[in-house]
Amino acid sequence: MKEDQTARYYRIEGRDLVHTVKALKEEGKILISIFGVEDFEGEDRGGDEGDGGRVGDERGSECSQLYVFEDQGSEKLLVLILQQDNGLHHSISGIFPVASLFEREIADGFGLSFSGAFDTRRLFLHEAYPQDFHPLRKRVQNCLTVPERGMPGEPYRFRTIEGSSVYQIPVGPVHAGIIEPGHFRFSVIGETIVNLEVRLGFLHRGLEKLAEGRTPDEAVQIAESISGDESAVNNCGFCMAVEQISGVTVPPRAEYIRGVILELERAYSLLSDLAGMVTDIAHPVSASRLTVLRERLQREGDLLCGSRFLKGAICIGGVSELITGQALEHLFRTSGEVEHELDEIAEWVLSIPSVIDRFSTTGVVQPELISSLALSGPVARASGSFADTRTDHPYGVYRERVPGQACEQGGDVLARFSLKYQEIRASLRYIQELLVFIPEGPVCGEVQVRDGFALAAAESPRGMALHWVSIRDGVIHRYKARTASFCNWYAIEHAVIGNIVADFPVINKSMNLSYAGTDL
Amino acid sequence: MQELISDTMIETVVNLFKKPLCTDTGLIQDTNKKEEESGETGTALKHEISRLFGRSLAIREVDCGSDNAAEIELGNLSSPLYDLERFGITFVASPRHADALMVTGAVTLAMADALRKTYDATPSPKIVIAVGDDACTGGIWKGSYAVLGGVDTVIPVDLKIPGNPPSPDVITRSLLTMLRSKKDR
Repeated sequence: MKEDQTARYYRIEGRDLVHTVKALKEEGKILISIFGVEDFEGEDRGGDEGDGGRVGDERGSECSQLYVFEDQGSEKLLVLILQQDNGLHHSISGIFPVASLFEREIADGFGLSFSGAFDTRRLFLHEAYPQDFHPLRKRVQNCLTVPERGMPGEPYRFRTIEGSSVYQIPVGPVHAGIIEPGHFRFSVIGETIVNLEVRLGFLHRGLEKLAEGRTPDEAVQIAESISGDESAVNNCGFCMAVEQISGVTVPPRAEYIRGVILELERAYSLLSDLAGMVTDIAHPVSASRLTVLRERLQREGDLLCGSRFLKGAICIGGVSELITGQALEHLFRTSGEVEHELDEIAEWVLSIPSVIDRFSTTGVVQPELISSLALSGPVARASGSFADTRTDHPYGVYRERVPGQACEQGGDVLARFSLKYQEIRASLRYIQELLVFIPEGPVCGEVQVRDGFALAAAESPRGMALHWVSIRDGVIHRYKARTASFCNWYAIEHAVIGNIVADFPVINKSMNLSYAGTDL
Repeated sequence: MQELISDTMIETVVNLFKKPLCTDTGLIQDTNKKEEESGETGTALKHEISRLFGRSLAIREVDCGSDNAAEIELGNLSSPLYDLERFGITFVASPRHADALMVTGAVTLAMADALRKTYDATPSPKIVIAVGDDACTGGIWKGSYAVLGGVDTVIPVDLKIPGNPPSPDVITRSLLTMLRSKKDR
């Protein structure tokens, strides 16, 4: 139907869906997202096609579903558009288990139901929301929905594990540490975890709906707030989608600076993962040294653009004018120093027997999970995958300069520790490379926002982040973000089985997923 | 391009291929200034905490809708460069052990109940501190179907620390200002 820089779009009929998806799976393609769009491309308004023209219907206009697939052999993503709002939808969760999450998300947001789904519980809407509330429908006004007393949603049913001596440990949403809220339900025999169910959604802020009706410039701040330690990459993904729609060319210098910013963010985010891992196995000496390094990089962010989280560094068309050559030179020096210091710490940590004892064979993510759960980022790369959005679907400066690659085979905490160490190192080197070759020139292109839609994929510190933006009449019609955390969270449920409860914190930290980035 | 490749840069590139040479002193040199700053504030903070709480101020953190940046900054307060524990501030694991709550994020519908319960579980007298723009006013989330608003729409707030997110220095100084304004027991 349409082909652009990042994706090929095809229309599909409801009756063809299941066998098409099966065929795609056999070809080795991986489902990475499904999302709903109401009134897609405005075709319903014309009323000249199929079931179109049902505007005014009390159900509202039609909801299309977009199935996004990744093809390992192609730089472009594949998008199937299913325009069908009437009757039942076929669940494809039997083919790609991860589809269950996406389908539950669509069921919450748009009120569609899927036949043959193995899980039909609500996902991001909690009991506080009325049962028939579907916020992403256009007819639902965006205003506070304090539920009327007496009609709360159905209570959430956790999976039950039964048998003698099985007991449950409920944890959260308020945790013991300074972290985000989420609920973990462990089923345990003795000390061994036999089942874990993660329930998220506590941080659901209505982000996608909030972006609707705003100009792209206004929505930048919203995209930045998806997840604090991934502000820059989510902002970049959003901007790339808007730039593609509007045909904006980002100047070369801005592309280089974006690369620097994204890698800086990756380095400090992953550094805190390393620090968290060694903290959780009671090795605070190395944790302290790693947090010092992280702090140094965060201060570089402050120096670059006035934000320790690189907020506002990237804008539509380029990067902030506040970034000076002097600050970049400072960053160049610091990244070299941090790299040396990191080498020393990592070499030391990985030579301590008690560290290896706790890390090795703990929390193994089996490679089979990667394609069925659409895992990406360090979680996938520590289990033998080479997938990296920067090289598989290159964007910006990554088209010109290939970043350093790392891969580990073990799939355990040790593999994730070593992998993250190598990735930080590669990021710091890449920053230095970019800063040596950075061209002069303007840092922001001319932006004239046009209508249309586009998909952008970017590699965040946690894996692939997808941003789909549709602009109509100069304002956002639909914004869908799918962070790596959304899919990667469910790897934990599998990784902890057979481990002891006391190892859960270090397994969790070794993935360090974002709660806010999942709940949106 | 010319101005960027300076002698120091070339030197650093050359150093990349040499054996790493790093010492702890090299690290502290760069961060000296900020550390002194927080040191001065810290000493004053310690004085106020001794005056008001006897020895220490125990804080429980609750995230009610933050994007996790504020959590990271609060975590940084315990990192070696800020190390607020030396001034008598501890982050505790349970609200029942806390003198104060630090709440981040605009309160989401799903977290409102948990926040109320945490507040009720904290023994009185208690202090509530809203950390970050979202926690202070609801910030950019105002008008969303999923957000009640700032922390003060759910529980009474004593101190608001604005920022997106506020830096560790700002948090430390704001704490000091608040404690100074409190009268002796």
